[in-house]
Amino acid sequence: MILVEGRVFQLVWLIFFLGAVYVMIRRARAGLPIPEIRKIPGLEAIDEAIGRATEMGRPVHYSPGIGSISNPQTIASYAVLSYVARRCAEYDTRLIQTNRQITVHAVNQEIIKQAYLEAGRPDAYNPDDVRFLSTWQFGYTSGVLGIFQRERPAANILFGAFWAEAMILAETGHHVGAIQIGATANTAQIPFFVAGCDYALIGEEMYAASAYLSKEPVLSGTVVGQDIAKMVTFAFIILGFILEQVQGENNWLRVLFSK
Amino acid sequence: MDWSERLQQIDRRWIYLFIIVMVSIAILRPLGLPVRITDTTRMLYDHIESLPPGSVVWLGMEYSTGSIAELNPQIIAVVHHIFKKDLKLIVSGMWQDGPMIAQGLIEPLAEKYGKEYGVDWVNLGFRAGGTPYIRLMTEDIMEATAGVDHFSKPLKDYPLMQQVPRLTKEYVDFIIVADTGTPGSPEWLAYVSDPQGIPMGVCIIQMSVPGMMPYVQAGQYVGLVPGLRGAAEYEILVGETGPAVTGTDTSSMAAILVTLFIILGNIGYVMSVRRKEQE
Amino acid sequence: MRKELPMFITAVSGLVVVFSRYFQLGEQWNLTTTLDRWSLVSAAFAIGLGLGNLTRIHYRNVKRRREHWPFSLYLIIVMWAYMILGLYQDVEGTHFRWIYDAVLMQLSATIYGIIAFYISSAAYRAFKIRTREAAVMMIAAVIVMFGVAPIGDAIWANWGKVSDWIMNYLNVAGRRGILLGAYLGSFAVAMRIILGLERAHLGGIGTGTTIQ
Repeated sequence: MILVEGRVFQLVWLIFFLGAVYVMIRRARAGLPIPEIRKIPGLEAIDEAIGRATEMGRPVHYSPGIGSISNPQTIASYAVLSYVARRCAEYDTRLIQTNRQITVHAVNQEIIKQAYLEAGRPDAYNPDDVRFLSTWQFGYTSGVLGIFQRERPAANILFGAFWAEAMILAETGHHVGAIQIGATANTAQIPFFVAGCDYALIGEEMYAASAYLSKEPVLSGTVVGQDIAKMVTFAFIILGFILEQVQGENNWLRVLFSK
Repeated sequence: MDWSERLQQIDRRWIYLFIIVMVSIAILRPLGLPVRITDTTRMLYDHIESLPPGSVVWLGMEYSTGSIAELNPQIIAVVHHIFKKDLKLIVSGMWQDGPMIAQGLIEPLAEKYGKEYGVDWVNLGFRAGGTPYIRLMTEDIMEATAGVDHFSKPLKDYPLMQQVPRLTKEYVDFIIVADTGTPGSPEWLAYVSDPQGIPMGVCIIQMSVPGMMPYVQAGQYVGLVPGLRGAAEYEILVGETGPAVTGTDTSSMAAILVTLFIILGNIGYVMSVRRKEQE
Repeated sequence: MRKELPMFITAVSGLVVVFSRYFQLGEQWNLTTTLDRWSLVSAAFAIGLGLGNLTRIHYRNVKRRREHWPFSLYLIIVMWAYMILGLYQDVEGTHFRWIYDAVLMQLSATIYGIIAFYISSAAYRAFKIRTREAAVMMIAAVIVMFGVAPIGDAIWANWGKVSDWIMNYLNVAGRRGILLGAYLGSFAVAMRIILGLERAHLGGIGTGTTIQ
C-alpha cells in the first residue's frame, strides 16, 4: 500500500477540497460568474474607523492577536494589516501596531513598510510605531493599555488570535472612546468581542478578509471553494447522524472515514 | 439626567468598587456553600483512579503566571491524587512559565509523599518551538529536550527517563494538559494524544470551558476540570480541601452583583423606551 | 526573487508535510521530524531576536531622550539584569526564583484579575433587552453565571442541571458550527499560501495587484 492506512479518506477529502478551490479559481480567472462574498459589516467598518481617526487627528491601533507566526488567525491578520496600513498611509493617519511575538513583529514591519511604499508614502512610515512589547501575555496587555491611555487611539482594530486579554483590550478601548473592530476564531473570546466592540467578526469571517478586502476574484474563488467543502461537510454530518440511528456505530460512513 | 439615564450610565468605577467589596467579603467571611461535583471533573478523577500504580502520567503545563489563581489549585489537587495513587509524573511546558510554576507546586507535594526527583517525577522544563517540540518528543525525548531537564541536568541519569524514551502509548499512560491558550490542549490532542492513542484530560480556566466542551462530548478529552470551581470539586474528591473550596464563594458574590447591575441597566433601558413611546 | 524564494520554500514545506502524512514512503523518511528540528532551532533564535529588538528600540528612545525615556532605560536595565542573573544562577536559583515568585507572578495574576472588573462593566453595558435575541442571550448568561457558582444550586437544586444543559447542548452546537467553519477557513488560508495566492505576509495585500 502506497498510502498510510487510516488516512486514505483524509487524503481524498483534501483532494476534493483542492479540486473545489481549483475549479472556482479557474472560473474566476476565465471571467465566469462565481458567487459573491456576502457583506461583512466588520470589514466594511475598517474604512469608517480609519476615517474617524483621521478626522479626530488621533492614531489607529492594530493588534494581530498574541498567536504565533504559524497560527492561521495570525496569518489571516496579515492581509487586514496590509489594508489598514495602506489606508492609514493614504489618509496620513498614524498607525500604531503592537506585537507579542517577535517573529510576527518582524513580518508586520515588512508588511507595513511595503504598504506605505505602495501607497507612495515611504517617508511617512515610522518603524517606532511598529512595536514589540513583550512575549509575556499580560506584559503585552499592560503595554497596550499604556499605549491606549497615552496615545488615545480613535480606532482600535483587534484582528487575530486572542485569549484572556480580549476583554481587557476591548473594554479599555471603549473607555478611551475608540471605535472598535474585533475578530477572532477563538470561540471562548468571541462573546467578549461581541460585548465590547462596535463590530465583531466571528470565526471564519476573518479568514475571508483578504479575499473580501482585495476583491480579487481568484481569492474569492478560494472562499467559494471552502464554502462548497463546508456544505459537503454538513451533508456528511446529517448523513452520519441518520446512519448512526439506523445502522448503529459500525455504519458504512464511519467505516469509510476510518479507511 | 433623569433616572432612566442614570441607571443606564452608572460610572464603571462604582461597579469596580462594589465588586472589590463583595469579593473581599466572600474571601474574609466565606459563605461555605456546598459545591456540587460536575460530571467532567468526576470523569477525570475516575480515569486517574483507574490507573494502576506505577503508570506514567504526563503533565503539560501550558499556562502563564496570569492564570495561577484558577489553575494552581487544580494542579495541586491533581498532583495530590497522582502521588497518592503512586503514579509517576513527567512535566513539560511549551510556555516558559509552566514548568517554573509546576516546580514550585510539585516540590512540596513530592516531599510530603516521599517522592524522589528523577525516580518518581521529572520536570523537563520549558523549550521554545511550540507544537514541533511535543511532536518531536513522540520520536525522541532526549533529542527534543537536548537531553537535559528543568535544571539543565542530564536526563539519562534519571531512572524515570530511562524508562520513558518516547512520548508514546507504550511508555505514557495518561496526559493531563493545563492550559489557557495556544499552544495548549488542542495542540496536544492533534499532535500527541490522538495520533499516539494516549487518553487525555484537561485542567482549564472557567473562561475556556464553553470552547472545550465539544472535545469532551466527542470523547477526545476523558475529563475536564473547570476553573476554580473545578479545583474545589477535585479538592473534595481527593480529600484535600484547600483554598479553592473557599474561593468559589467569590464567584457566587460576583454573579449576584453582576446580575444586579444588569437588572438596573435594563430597568433604566425599559424606562427610557417607555418615555420615548409616550413622547 | 525577494518574494519568490519564500513562496517556493513555503510550497515545498507544505508539500513535504502532506507527503509525510499521507504516503508511507514519506512517513518512513520522517521528513516532518526534520522540519520540526529546524523549527525548534529557529524558535530558540527568535528569543534572541526579541531581546535584540527590544534593546535596540528602547536604546534609541533613551539616546534621543524621547517622551517617557526613563521607562525605556528601566526596561533595558531590568531585562538584562534578570537575564544575567538567570544565566549566573540557573532558573531555580534563590534570587532568580524570588523575583519570579514575588514580582512576575503577582503582576501577571493582577492583570488577569482585572478581567473580573471588565467583564462586570461590559456585561452591565452590553446586556440590554433591545431585541428578543439579546433577551435570550442575557437570560442564558445569567443562568450559566449562577450555574457555575455554588449559589445557583443553593437557590434551586436543579439550577446547575439547567446551566449544564445550556452549556452541553446549545453552547456546544453553536461552537461546533463556528469551529467547523473556522477550521475550513484556516485550511483555505493555508492552501492559498502554499499555492502562492496569498502573499500579504510578504508585503502587499492578496496578490498585491489591486486594492479597493
